Order: sequence, then C-alpha cells, then structure tokens
Amino acid sequence: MNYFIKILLATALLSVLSACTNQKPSTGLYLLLDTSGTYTKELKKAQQIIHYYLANLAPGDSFAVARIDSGSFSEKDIVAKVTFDHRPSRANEQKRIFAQSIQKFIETIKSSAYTDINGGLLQASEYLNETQASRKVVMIFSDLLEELPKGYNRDFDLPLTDFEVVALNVTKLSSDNRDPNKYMKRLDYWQKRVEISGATWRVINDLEREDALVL
Amino acid sequence: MPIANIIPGQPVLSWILVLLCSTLVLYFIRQSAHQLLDSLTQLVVQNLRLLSKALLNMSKQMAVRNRDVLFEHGQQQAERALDRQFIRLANLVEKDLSRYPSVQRDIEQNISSMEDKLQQTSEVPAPLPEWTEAVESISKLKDSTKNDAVVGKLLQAIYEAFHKQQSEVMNVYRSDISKRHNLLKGAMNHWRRLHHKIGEVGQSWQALIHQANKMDHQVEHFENLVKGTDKAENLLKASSTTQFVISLIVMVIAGFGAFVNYNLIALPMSELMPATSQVAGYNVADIGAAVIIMLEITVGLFFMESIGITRLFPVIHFMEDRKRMIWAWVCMIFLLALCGVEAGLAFMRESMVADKALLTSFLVGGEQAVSQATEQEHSNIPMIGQMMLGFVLPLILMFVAIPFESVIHTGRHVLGNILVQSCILLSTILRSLSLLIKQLNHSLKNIYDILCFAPIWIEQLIESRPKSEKKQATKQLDLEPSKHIKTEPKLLDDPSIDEKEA
Repeated sequence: MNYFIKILLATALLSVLSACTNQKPSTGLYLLLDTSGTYTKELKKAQQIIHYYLANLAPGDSFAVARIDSGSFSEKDIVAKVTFDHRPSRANEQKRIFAQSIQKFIETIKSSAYTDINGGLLQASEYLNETQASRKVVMIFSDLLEELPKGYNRDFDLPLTDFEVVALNVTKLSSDNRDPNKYMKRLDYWQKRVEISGATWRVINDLEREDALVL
Repeated sequence: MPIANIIPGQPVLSWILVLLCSTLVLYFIRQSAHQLLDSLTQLVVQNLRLLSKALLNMSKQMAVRNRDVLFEHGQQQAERALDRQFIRLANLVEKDLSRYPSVQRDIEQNISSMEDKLQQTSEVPAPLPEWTEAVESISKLKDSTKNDAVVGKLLQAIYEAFHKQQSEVMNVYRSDISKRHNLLKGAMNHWRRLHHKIGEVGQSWQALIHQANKMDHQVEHFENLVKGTDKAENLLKASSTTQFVISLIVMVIAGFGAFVNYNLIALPMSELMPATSQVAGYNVADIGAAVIIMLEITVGLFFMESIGITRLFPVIHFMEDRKRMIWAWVCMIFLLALCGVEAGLAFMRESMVADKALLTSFLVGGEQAVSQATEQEHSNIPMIGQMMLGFVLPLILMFVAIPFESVIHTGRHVLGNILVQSCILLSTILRSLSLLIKQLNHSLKNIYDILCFAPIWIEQLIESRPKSEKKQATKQLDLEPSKHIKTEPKLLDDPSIDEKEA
C-alpha cells in the first residue's frame, strides 16, 4: 500500500513538473524585400536591418528573408530561412551563414518588373504558422506600391490573425510628391487590409531609431 | 411627493409637521433603538474581547514554548561546550600523565646523582702524619742539652721536613676542595634540572586548575539552564538575538556571493541545457545554474556536518568516526568535482563572449572586421580570473553552513518572540477597539436623544412634578405595568464589567 502511495506521489510530482515545463516564447520574423525597379538601391539599408535582427534574435527564434517580385507566393522567393539552434554557439554559426547568404543575394540581385506584396504576405503567414512561433512578425521593406502581372488574382482575405505587420522604409515616389494623397491612400489601404485580417499595423520610416526596431 | 407639498402651498408648515412627526416617532421608538444599539455593541465588543483573550492566551502559550525551545537550544550548546571542555581536560591529563613516568624517572635520576655527588664530597682526606709528638719530645731535649748542635740540626731538619710536609698537605687539601667544588657544581646542574622539572609539573597543574575552573563555570551555567533561572534566560535571549543578527548578515553576504557565482555560470549553462525550455516561467538553463549552486552549498553543508563543525543532521553526526571520515572525503571529492565543473563553465563563458563579439564584428563590419578582431592580441587574465573565481567560490560558499545552522537554531526563537509580541499588540488593539465601540455606542445614544430632545424634556418635566401628582401618575403607571420599562439597559454602562475583566 505504501509502495503504491509513493508511486502515486512521484507520478503527481512529475505531472506537476511537466505541467510547469513549457517552451520559451519564441519569435518568428519574416522580412519581405521589395526588389522592384529602383527600390533595389535601398537594399543596403535592408541588410543593416537584417544584421540588427540577427544580432538580437535568440536561440529558438525563426528568421526568414524573402523577396517580393512578380509572383511572391512561392518558396523559391525565400532567400534565407533559419530556426536558431538552442545552443548559442550553434546559433551564432547559423547567423554567420545567414548573413553570408544575404550578402550574396544583395550582390547578385536583379530588379523585378512587378511587386506582389499580397503574395509575399501570404507566403509569410504560411511560413510563420509552420514555425509555431508565439510571436509572429512580418516586415515589409517596400514602397508598398503593388503592381501585379496580368492574370494574377490577389483578391482574398489575408490569414494574419495575431500577426504584427511592420512596414519599413516606405519611400515616397515621385508621383507621391506631386500628390501626397496617393501616399496617404496607399498607407491607409495597407493598414486597413492588414487590420481587417486580424493583424496589427506599424510603419517605421526612420531606420536610425533603434527603439522602434526592437521586437 | 416632495415634503414641502405635504400641506399644499405651505412648505414651512409642511417641514414643521414632518419634523414634529419624526421627533415623535423617534421618541416612541427610543427604547427599542437604544436596545438595538446596545445589543449590536455588546455583540461586537464581546467578540473583540474574546479574540483579544484568545490572542493573549496564544501569546502566553507561545512564550512558554519559546522559552522551552530557548532552554533546549541553550542546553544543547552548553552540552557541546562542556563536551569540548572535557575533551580538552582529557587531552591535558593524557598528555601530562603520559609524560609523568619519564618526569619521575628524570627526577629520581637527578636526585640519585645529587646524592652520589654529595657522598663524594663528604669523603674526609687522610689525617696529617703523627710525628708532631716526636717533634714535641725533641723540643724538650733542648732544655737539657743546651747548645747541642745535633739537636739544632735535627730540629732544623724536622722544621724543613714539617714545612715541606705542610705545603704538600696544603696542596692535597686544596685539590680535594677543588674536586668537591667541581662535584657540587655538577650537583647544581642536577638541582637546576630538578627545579625545571618541578616547575613544568607545576605549570601543568596550573593549566589543569585553570581548565577545572572553566569547567566549573560551564557546569554552573549548565545547572542554571537546567533550573531555568531568569538570569540564564536573559543571557540566552541576548545571545541568541545577537547570533541571529550576525548569522543573518553573513548569510546575506553569502547570498551576494551565490549571485555572483550564478551569473558566472548561467550563460554557459545555456550550451548544456535547452535554452528554449522553461519551467514556471524561468529558463531551464538558469534553473540549472541555480541548482548547481544549491548542490554545492548542500555538499558543503554535508562536509561541514561530517567533520563535526555543524550539527544539523543527526544521522551524519551519530555515524561511526571512520564512516564519518569516509563520508567527509566523498563530500570533498564531489565538491572539488563541482568546483572543476564551475571552472570549466567559466572558461566556456569567456569563449562564448568572445564568439558573440566576433559575430557582432562580422555583422557590423563584415569579414574584414573579423580578421582585424582576431589579429588583435587578447589578454588571458579575465579568463583565468573567471576560472579561479569559479573554482574558489563554491569552496567559500561551503562555509555558509555555519551561519545557516545558527540562523536555523536561533531563528526559531527570534521569530517566535516576534510572533508573541505581534499577538500581544493585536490583542491590545482589539481591546482598545472594543472600548472605542462602547464609547461610540454611548455617543450614538446621546445623539439620538438630542434628536428627540423635546419629548424627553417634557417627560422629565412630568417626572419632576410635585410628589402628590407624581404618586397619582405612578399609581396610574402601576395600573399599566407594561409601560413601566427602563429605557436604558445597564449591561454595557456598568463599569464593574470592565473592572472584572481587567
């Protein structure tokens, strides 16, 4: 009888411990890089941002960088992706490799004719849902002017519930300068589209502000 | 309907009517209202007094229990002190007794040597030759044979021989005296040795007497503790509070040491344990680091216990000496192993920091910055310092066992005392509260009476009428006994209750 009670107590203790044990909240970050037209000149800034996040992401976090081109809803557009190992030394090694692949990408990038932001967002939501990260952040490094090739349908609801969407370096086009309403309308359009899909929306244009970039 | 419109168009009259009615109502229900207030007050006051008494009783019981615990702890301490004194005395006696045969032999040897020397000095030298009588008879011849040349020559020869003999005898005598002096000098050395030995024995006895005095003192203290005298209690209280405070300060310092140790190994532990897992909101790696430190303290505690410095675990304390020593060695080996682990972790920490710095350089400045950083000369002093710290800190933390034991033993009494004082304070507050509520009840009743002062005043006027009228009124009241009710129950106003309870 005593033996049975001891086993019962040990089981209860183990159950309590296992109930208390959980995974550390991880962050999933998906960075979309606009490679259309003249925006490729801005990619050096994007590299700095990537390095910043590489330095700050912790073991267990996931990070992916993808380009926005004519049809972005594709795995082929993912430039680099990684889920950092739980060992810090291994995670550092992964970060080095990641940075090198980004460097290579930026050196060899060619401009694309179109900008499929919706496709990129859809791909981002798919990737981040797969990582099961507790915090999902999508960053769009773009002027937010979507241009789709003929025959592409992007009229759908984005599955971005509980996501955070951050628009980085939303540059003003020459047409925006002539008519600022266009710029405002563009921002409004994306904000509404993102918020309707259940995500939060933020715009960071001053990339020097480190506190704004903190996840 | 508004009050001002009770009599339409006459707001003042309406208010007066309402006031009159309410005053009358208050007057008629005055007795019941007072009774209600008294009952409520009585209920609250009695409960508060009950609580206060319960707290006082509890504090008394706790004080008695505290006293028992204090004396128990004091007796244990005194027993330990007495044990130590007995061991010292035993060592002293054992040391002296083991030396005693050799000292005795030494003294006897010295005495016998001195006796020999004295005997040698007492030897009398051979007496002078007995030819003086012959000289005397020849000297008598001088008178009978005057100017006899033979006699003169003979006397001269005798004189010379005498002088020669005398000088020889003197020489012999001097050499004898010198020999005796030498022998006595040798005896002096023995005498000094004897004196030294006796001095040593005397010192040993002095030490024994000193130790015995100490023991007498300890025994007296122990007797006081057994008797439970107030003097012993006061001494114990002061001593335990002081010890508690000192031990607590030392424990806090040790806590800071443990914190430094934790920071030293928390980062490298993330290489050994999954950095992405958490238990109750804390990283498993951090918990692992804390567990290692706690294990070090525990092993240190066992080590101190096994070598007899602390007495927290009776199981270890009552082990056979041989087993206890084996246990101590096992603990020391584990502790040193943990020290080694910490030194290794400290080394790993430094490597991780360097790797992180290289990564940052790479991310900021690319490959060129990394090559520049690696080319720079690095000092190994921080790494060596961290490794040494990682090795030494667990050994230092081992000594926490001593203040920890003190805190455990004295804390029980100190915390108990704080609880007793809190109970007494709470009891006093509750008692004051009950008195306050009683006074509040009186005040409320008085305010109530003020509100309906007019009917009460009329009642008083009626009561203070001349006797004849009053009698008639009383007769009338006697006929209606149900109306003759005292308005104020004296239960709560009776000061004797307070006096009795006090």
